[in-house]
Amino acid sequence: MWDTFIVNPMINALLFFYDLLGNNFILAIAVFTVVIRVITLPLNMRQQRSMIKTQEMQPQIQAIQKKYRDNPQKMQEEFRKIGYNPADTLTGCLPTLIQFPILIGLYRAIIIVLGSTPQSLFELVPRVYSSINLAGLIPVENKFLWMNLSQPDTLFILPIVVFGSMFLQQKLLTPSTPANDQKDNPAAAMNQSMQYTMPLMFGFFSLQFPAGLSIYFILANVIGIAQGLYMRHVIDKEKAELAARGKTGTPYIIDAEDDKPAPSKSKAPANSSGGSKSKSSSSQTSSSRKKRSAKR
Amino acid sequence: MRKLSWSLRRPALWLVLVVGVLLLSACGSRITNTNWAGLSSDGSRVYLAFGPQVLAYDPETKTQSWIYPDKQGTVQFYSAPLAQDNRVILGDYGRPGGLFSPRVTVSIYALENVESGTPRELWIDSESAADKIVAPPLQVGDQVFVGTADNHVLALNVDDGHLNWDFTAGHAIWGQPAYRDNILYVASMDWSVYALDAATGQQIWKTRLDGALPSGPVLGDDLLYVSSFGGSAHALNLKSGDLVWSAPASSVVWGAPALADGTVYFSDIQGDLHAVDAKTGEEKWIKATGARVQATPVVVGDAVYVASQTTDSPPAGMLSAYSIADGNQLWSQKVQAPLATTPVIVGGDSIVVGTQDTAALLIGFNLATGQELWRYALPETGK
Repeated sequence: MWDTFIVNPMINALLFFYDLLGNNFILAIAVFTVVIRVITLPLNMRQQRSMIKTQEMQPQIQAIQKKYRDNPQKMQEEFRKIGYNPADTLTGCLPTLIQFPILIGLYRAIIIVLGSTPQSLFELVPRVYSSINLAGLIPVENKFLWMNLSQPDTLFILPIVVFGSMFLQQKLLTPSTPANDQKDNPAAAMNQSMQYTMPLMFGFFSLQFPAGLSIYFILANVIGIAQGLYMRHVIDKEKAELAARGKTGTPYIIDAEDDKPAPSKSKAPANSSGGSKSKSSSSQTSSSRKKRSAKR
Repeated sequence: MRKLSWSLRRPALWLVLVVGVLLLSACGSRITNTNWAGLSSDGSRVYLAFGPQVLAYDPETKTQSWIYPDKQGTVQFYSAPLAQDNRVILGDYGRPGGLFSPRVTVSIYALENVESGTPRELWIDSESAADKIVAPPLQVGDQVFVGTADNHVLALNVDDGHLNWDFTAGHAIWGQPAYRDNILYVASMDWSVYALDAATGQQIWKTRLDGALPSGPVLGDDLLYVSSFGGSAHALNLKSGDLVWSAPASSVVWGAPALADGTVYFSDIQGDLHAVDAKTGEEKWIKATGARVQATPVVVGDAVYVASQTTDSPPAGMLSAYSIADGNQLWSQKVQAPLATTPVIVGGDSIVVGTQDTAALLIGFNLATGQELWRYALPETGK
């Protein structure tokens, strides 16, 4: 079922583009990656928007979590006030979850089409639709520049480019968090760790996987970078428009000594992560910590 | 349960991520680098490259003569070994360079064909080939010719493995070359047949056909026969390379054609067995075997034998015999593992199939009746 509905259509699409683009497998991967990215663009946009928004609300979310850790009902109420719904975090993951089958399917499709043994070719034959003239396309051209696309790149160039492009993508997509905040914010700490771990992981994969797959990783990263930059541009524009209309939202500041959070009279936008609000949250949390330590 | 403090959580998180990376890279599927077993015979013993090891088996004494290497490692062998002049020559699918190296080392081996024990390594060439050896080698005089998946035809000195010459084709070479009168004939996946000067590797002629050529060419009196992924068998003029005839099949023709008594036999992967006139390509008969065939048919006496795999899930193997006169089925035997390897004839009265099923690596059948005579399993898994 997985093969019938995900992998085989992708194999056929790859072969279709390979045929269409003059038997150039690199171009076929490139066009196919773009097509997949365009199809999943709305999901990606939604995910990135949700990620950026949640990240920017983190100081407020943390402050509420700390203050009302023993009163979940109150915590939910306060969350509602700042316009944060924890369930949205799950909704934010949904696009990623939906994309997983696509990514894994594409990965499998490239592996199968680039197969370089008689057995792998034999297994490819029944997967190809009758509308595609497989006999005219076989063997898939596996030489590109210095590389054999069905073998890892022995010059280590692709693993380095995979690492670099993915690092850049992660850096652009992950909002920066001051080191102090990371201590109190597991999500931010995790994001910062992922900035290094994911590129290292994929760079490491590229040492062992076929060069064709590394090229797919690089193309996907480049498109991801472009998409991330565009997304930031759109969000910044939205913020500017909101500010221009005076719809800045109600900021949420917690007084360390007050159990009842009061709406602030500040004009700072609610979804701003920097400036005095962050500091106030931060100082509040450290003062709370001191109090708790003293009690112990 | 006590929560981990943040000072511990961060290193713990990193540890989990690093372990995850290692696990993922270890379990991640690389490109498929396996194949069906390679089988050959010198008339009395059979030689099987079944993946991690290569073995020699004597059907007469029902004993395994030797196995190489002693212990299974990371290197895989699938190319049918060449046993000639007390030597066995074979190539591997490459030794991975390790966790942090993308380099793969492909080797060609010459082993002493001992009666028992472990064969001595006469020489190993790990420099000449850059990608796996799928094609069975061919020895002529003091030269051994090896086609590689990185598009090369290598001519090595059979005594020391010294590289005499190297020819580059347009794509991989999966089939055993053929030789006659100082000319080497090579079929490549680049859709072309090459005639090369066996002494120098110089190209004499090249003919492009209608599809990839996954198996080796077969020599006739004046013609060279070759199967094509384009769905035909072709006959070329030996001297000029000109196409003399093409016989269409129902689908891809994978196995090499078999020539006997003026008739060429070939199967397509939809399972149709064709018999055509060797001189004209005119069809004599066609028979549906009902199974997928990529092995080369084997002709002995009045029968043509075809190894195939059924379309069941999971597929089983079939070995069937057909009359060369009209294609009528004489007998058929089903085995558990799919049969993709071309069978070999041993002792004049038995036909042997090879599989990768370690519980039945080799099975011998009576040529005339199809009765199973013996089967061989690796000692560890034998029943």
